[in-house]
Amino acid sequence: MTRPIQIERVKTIFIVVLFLMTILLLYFSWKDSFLVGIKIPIDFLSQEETIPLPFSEDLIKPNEIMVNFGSDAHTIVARKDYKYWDAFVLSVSEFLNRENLTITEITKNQFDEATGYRSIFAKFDYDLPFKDTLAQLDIQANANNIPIEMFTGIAYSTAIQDSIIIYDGKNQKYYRLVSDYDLTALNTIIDDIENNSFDPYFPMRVFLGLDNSTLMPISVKTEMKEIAYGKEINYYETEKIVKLAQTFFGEGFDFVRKITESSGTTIYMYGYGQKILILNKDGAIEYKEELGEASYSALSYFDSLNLAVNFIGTHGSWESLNGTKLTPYLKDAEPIIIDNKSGYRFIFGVIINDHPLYLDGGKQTLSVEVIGNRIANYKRQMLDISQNTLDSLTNEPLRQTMDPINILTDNHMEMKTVLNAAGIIIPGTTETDFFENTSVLIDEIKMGYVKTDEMDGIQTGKVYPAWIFRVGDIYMYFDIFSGKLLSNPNQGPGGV
Amino acid sequence: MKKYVFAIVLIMIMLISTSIAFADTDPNVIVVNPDQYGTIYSDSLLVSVKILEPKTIKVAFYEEKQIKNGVAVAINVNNINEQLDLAELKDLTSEPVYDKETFVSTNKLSFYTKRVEGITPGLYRLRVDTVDSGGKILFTSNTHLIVKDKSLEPAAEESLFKAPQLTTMQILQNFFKNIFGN
Repeated sequence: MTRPIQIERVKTIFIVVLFLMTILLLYFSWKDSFLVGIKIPIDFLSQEETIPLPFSEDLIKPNEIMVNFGSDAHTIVARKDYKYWDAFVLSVSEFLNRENLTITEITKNQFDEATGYRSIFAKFDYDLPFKDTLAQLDIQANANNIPIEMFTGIAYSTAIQDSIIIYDGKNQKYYRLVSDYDLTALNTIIDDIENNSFDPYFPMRVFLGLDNSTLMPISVKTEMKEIAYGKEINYYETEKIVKLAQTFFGEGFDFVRKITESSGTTIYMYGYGQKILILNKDGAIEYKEELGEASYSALSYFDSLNLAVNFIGTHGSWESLNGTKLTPYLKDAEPIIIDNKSGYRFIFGVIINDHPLYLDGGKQTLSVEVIGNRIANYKRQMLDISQNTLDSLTNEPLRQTMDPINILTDNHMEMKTVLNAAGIIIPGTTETDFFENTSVLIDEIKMGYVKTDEMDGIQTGKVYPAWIFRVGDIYMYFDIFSGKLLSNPNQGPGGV
Repeated sequence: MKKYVFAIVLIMIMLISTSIAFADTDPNVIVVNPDQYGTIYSDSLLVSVKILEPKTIKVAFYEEKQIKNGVAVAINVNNINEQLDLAELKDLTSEPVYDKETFVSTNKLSFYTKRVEGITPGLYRLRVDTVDSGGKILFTSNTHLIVKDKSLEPAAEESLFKAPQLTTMQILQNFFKNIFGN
């Protein structure tokens, strides 16, 4: 063999080896990673910017803090006054740290009787693991045996001033905790709230003479008004869409397929659907990821929550894509199982000037499913609202709302129709029967903003101030001033 | 014999006086809150009246005071717990907390509600008149309310947090749970 031919053969072998090494290198770099959820996006954020993330402690606040002043007079503490919650937690942490802390189970009747006196009851719409929550808040509970599994609410009653009551909603249990710590600071909190202006609430039985203790406000004055909103992302904003998509697929974005449907929905797909990003025409975003056979390790509740918080922060951020700053909060959390692997679904809402925002149709603003240390699903429908509009709300003149009691009397037949359609049959033969049998089912009455897709067949592009009536998982929205039914009701967790 | 006659006369007076108070009440106008001769330990109150037909009502809320030495004084309700005691009070005068508020109901079902604030311990009376289009009073109801100081609200009963008596089955269940867990 001549020397030039040998050299050419060596070159050929060398090129083949390089080619094979390239393929192997690409394979290892594209393989599933455990760090998808917290990968820093390329070119989405300036390298000098820090990613704004809410603290878990700021997200996890009671969904309701009810104060009983005695003789049926109540109030529900507004979010702007949650400094009282911080003061409450401070006293409770000192209380739990006493060496002679005892814990005994009590009955619901005892709980109801205790909170029938001057009292505070802070309640969450979800269950938190009790011991993990204490650890997260750096609170030491000095008890030999803590039988409390979950924490859904906490109460203090002036009827038993040496005690705190914990409510475990998952197991429907109540616990009385006793220590020698002086809890009179909590009396001061109740007095302070009472002495400042508050919106009065009374149990519905006081208004109606019916068996329902759901708190109902008398008419209130509010600064709320209709607010125009836009989508945070539109299907024609190609550059913005690409930037957002890159945060999900990272360096592998060049190998992602893009499918545009006739409906206007854009889908980005990696591989054979291992990762899918869907951008709907209405601005809603959904990301799904197959868990595959990658090794799984369960995370604790708060580690899962932190993973979810980080993921949102790096995939769209906690503001709208156009920078609208709305205050987020944890609205709901529940354990889930996907492909025999356990995890959590976290649903986050946003607050507009102290009032929660609801999306009709059971939609959510932010929803994350965390399985082990992976993100299995992420849904997002942030509204884009002008910052000037948000800032101006605090200067709006106060207007009298329609009395919720009159919304109930004017709309009880509509409510009956809605509930019947949802499978809840309201018995009765007369209108009074229907009114009473509907009223006893009301579980919650709140003020908030509601985004409806359309009213009277017209796309409105607005969120409306509303009285929200809830029966179980069914939410009904009524214009806060006119009492008009705002949208078709939805089942499932309301609010965003 | 005289004692029996006196007792009979007293009972008759009480029956007649209460019957006069209630004979002209409108069956379609119901005072939901406050309860007749109810007691509250608060300085505020929710008045709620249910109206079952389109009609006009006028609502007034008075404090009943006693004239003593020519001066109207609040009635000391702290030692009064009996309806009979209140019915026997004399030399009463009514001072309006709010006077004759008109509410027009146009529906078959509606509620008049009002939160009354700043009330001090004493005896109060809620008066509800049903009136016709000319303002003539057709029916009247009076509901009395006792307002006491918050500090006098009865404390929780000692039995509130006594451990409930467990049944034999519950004791056995707890025993096995302790051994085997849930």
